[in-house]
Amino acid sequence: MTDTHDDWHVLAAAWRSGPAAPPPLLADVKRRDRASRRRLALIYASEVLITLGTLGVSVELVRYHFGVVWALWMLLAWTLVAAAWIMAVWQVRGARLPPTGATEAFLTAAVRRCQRRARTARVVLLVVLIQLATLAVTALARYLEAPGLFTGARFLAWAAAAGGLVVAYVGWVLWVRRRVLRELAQLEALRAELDEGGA
Amino acid sequence: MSESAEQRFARLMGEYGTALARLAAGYEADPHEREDLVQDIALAVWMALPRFRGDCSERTFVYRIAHNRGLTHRARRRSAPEPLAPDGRLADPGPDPEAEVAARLRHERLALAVRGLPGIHRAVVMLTLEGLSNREVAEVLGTTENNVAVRLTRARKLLRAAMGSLGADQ
Repeated sequence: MTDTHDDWHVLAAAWRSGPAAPPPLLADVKRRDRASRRRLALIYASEVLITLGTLGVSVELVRYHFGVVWALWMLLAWTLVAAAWIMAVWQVRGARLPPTGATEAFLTAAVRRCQRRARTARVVLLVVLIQLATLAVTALARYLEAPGLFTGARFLAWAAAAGGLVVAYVGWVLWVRRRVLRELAQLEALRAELDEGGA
Repeated sequence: MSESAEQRFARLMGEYGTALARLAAGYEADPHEREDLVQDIALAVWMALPRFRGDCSERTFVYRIAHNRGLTHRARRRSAPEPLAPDGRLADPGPDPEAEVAARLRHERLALAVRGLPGIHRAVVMLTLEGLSNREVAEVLGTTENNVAVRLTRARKLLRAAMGSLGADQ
């Protein structure tokens, strides 16, 4: 018992003899805080811009082409945008991490947050799938109307650029989802370890 | 006269800054990432200060934030083998006096062993090594004192085994 106790004291002394570090400076922390707020503001602004852009482009397309297919396309675009916003707001509820909470509460919130991020990635993939299907139907309708539009270097360049964008976006979402799932597995393991009750 | 948020933050960092660096060393081996983690913890403390109403001690408040950040930092990392220096020895401690070099190597070796422990055991060990009582550790983790005591016994065994194998490697 005494050996173990002494041993522990030696370890504690070794632990505390770690290199002295200068305390974090308030100026650096405030700079980091500003950068993080700026990043968040940029993300929110870009989300609003994408929403307004989608709505504006869909209205313009319907005004320009004026057909049932385009009206349906606009309706679908608006529905997807509304669904995305509703989901985003719903996801945020109760998912704030309480950094000052005990580890148990913190891990529970962190797991919930990760689960929601994983679900978001799944929904995003579904939305991309719906958009691709819509695009295919629209393109088919246009092809039947005017097959000449679907030939030539300009069309091929457009199709290649759009296809590349879709592939890059889907690849990025899958990469994010993989990272989130890995984080979720780690957090769940930690929570299980804490829940073990020391048994 | 009461302390301003700035003064309070500066005082907390003065009191716990070195401890935060040690705790970060228990979660991250890479010095740059470790520095980043310390800054992250400091930012979280700064942001949480206005909401701190004294429902726990300042020490518990700071350590809770540090551990919660450390755990999420660790969870986000791709799990990779602990990076030792290329020749299989611990990194060069720099041109310190002999005793300091030896102390630093001991600390590095211990930090390496601590990083190898399972998450919650790691937290229990680090907090105990920092001098927190079982009751305080339980407060930080949100568990019971008894639970902490059981974990600490198990963690000590794991730590001793890890230290033994590290010693054998050198």
